[in-house]
Amino acid sequence: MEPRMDAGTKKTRKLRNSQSFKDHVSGYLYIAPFFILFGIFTLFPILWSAQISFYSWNILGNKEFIGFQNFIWLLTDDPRFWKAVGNTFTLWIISTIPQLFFALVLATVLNQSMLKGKALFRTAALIPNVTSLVAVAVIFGSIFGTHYGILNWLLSQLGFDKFNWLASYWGAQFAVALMVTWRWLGYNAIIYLAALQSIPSDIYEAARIDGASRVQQFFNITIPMMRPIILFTVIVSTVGGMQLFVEPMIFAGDQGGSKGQVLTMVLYLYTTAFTNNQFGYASAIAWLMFLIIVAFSVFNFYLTRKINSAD
Amino acid sequence: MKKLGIMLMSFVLVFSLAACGGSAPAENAGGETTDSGGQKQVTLNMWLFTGTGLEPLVDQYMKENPHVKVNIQAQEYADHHNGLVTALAAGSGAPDISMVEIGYLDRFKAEENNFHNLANFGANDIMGNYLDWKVVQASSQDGSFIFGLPTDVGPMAMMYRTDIFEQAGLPTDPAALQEKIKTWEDFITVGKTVKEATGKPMVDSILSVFDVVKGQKNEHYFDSKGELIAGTNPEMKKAYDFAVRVAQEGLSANIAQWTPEWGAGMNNGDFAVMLSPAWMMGFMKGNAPDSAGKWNVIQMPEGSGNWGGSFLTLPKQGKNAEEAYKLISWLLSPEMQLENFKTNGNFPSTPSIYDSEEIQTFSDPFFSDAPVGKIYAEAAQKVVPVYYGPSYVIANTPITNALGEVQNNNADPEAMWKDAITQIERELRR
Repeated sequence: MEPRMDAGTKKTRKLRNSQSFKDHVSGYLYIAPFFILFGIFTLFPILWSAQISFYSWNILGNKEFIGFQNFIWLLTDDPRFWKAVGNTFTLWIISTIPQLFFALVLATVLNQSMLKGKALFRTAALIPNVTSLVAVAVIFGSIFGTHYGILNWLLSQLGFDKFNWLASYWGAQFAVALMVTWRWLGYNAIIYLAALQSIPSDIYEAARIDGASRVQQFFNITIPMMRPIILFTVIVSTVGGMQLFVEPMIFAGDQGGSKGQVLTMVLYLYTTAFTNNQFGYASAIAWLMFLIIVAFSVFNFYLTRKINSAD
Repeated sequence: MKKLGIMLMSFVLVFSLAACGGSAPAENAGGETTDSGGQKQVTLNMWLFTGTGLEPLVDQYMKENPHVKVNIQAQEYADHHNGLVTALAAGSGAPDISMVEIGYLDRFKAEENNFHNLANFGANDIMGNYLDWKVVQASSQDGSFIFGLPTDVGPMAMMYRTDIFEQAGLPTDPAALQEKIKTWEDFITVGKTVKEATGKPMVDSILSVFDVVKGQKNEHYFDSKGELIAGTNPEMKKAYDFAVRVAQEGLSANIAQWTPEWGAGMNNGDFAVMLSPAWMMGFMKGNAPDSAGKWNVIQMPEGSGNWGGSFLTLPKQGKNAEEAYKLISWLLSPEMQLENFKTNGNFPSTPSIYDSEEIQTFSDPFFSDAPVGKIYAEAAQKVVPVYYGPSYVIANTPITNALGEVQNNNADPEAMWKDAITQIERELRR
């Protein structure tokens, strides 16, 4: 019902007392807590960071307006930023692809009817996801240690030289990607498992009657039926991958290694803001990062539509 | 009726959430009330980082001065300093007293108006109690503004493994070894001997050598006017080249500090010496228990060095500066620093007590009963004052990254140096 502004006071009062008006008010009150918090803690900082990205500001001193200079430097003369962008994408690729592939394999195994102790395995699959990140990074740091790491011990048992994982480019990337994969593998597997279980069994039955092999069933029934869920996990992993921060920071320090082996976009943003105290430049990084993620999401969306309409 | 109840509830929820932001500072703000005795009741807020050992002394102060109540909030090192930066930038929430470590001090120094000048409270009368170089650190360039009173210092000495030195046929007696390692050149010679005889590298990492050699120079990356001299200061390049040489001679174990491998390396004797400040003794005992009794101590070649050490400052947002000053001047007096040394091992910044019985006779079986108290007291008086500058971290990081690349990946040191200087210039203009 539309409130009528030209009505008299008597009518307004009547309107205010009316049930539907009260419903409106209580409706807004219900959603108010979210929007108030969103406004204070999300919307305001976003807009404010847009403003300070045009300044040179060390947080304690005066802000100095420098126009687009921060963005010009970022785009034309900051190899570390582009290294961070590159690292974020390579780390995303080498962690997400194996992660989703093995999650699907794991889900299929967990879905087998002959498997005993399903609940136990399903819980175990989710444990890495709820383990404290700092603990994970410390353990992985010990695994990949040069002198006393388990991995190097194994290598030396097999007759290979000790390898400085952290110092080499691909070594460090591999270690961080493995950390991410280990952490999210079970989470994605549980989601896939739920999807697997929602596929009606009569479809498989029909396929079996028609003489389809297990592999044929997997590629012609399971994968197509799970397409929306796979897309969901791709999107979630993309969001997570673009924001990769804690693992490289704890594994390689806030510089992401001495040549920035695992320096990611967020890690670069963090050091610029909180180690160097250059908040204007850090805000500019944040906005450029935002644009990169938007571009990537548009590409993702396009790909999603394409896959969804494949058949 | 039911609807009204729900509406009320959502109101309450909204306001309680909104109040979350507001109520905390109100509780933290220092208050002054007058108690029945007539003496002004004062609450002081004090921010420390963990491990300062000051808490029991503050308790003692509260007992002796019942009108003062101190709320201590101790956080982890980086969180503590970031919290202070945030509070100062926000304009409210900073405590009456805040600890600031030397690594962060120059950043705060650049913003004088956020702190009380302790000279206004009579700090000039007591600054003579503290080590000269520490007073320089605590004051503005011209000495007119005093940011904080010095807490502990981190003078450096050289801990060496007697078992490895013996194996290498080198003297294990400190006096004899000191004769052999008088200069950094000697250090390399001895290092080569150790390497040839035992196969063990001399140091954990070239970064620790770089820090000490650099620390013996007055000027690092910035001159006293704040101009960047990293690329032109010959002393800086010398320190860099020396660290590179240590790597190229194979005298570094390539173990990064503060990693689990570092403690294991100390414990197992993977490197022959530790360049360590006084406060490192506790860390070594905790992380390398099997190496007990295998260490002995000599002075650093060509002087000493300092690693760490802090100051107690009075942020302007605090409400009870007078009382806060009374507390910190008591807390950091020579007598109390000696107490802190006895209980927590923090090395005092007040040379008047260096001759005291407690420091002169302080020794530890872990370090072969060497007179470590005496050695560190001597080292503390040899430290040279350094001008750091507010952007010290920004300038230092690319250089240490370059050294890391030289050490780990055999990168070309000259090219790395040039890249690092470019990177410093790039980061400083922002």
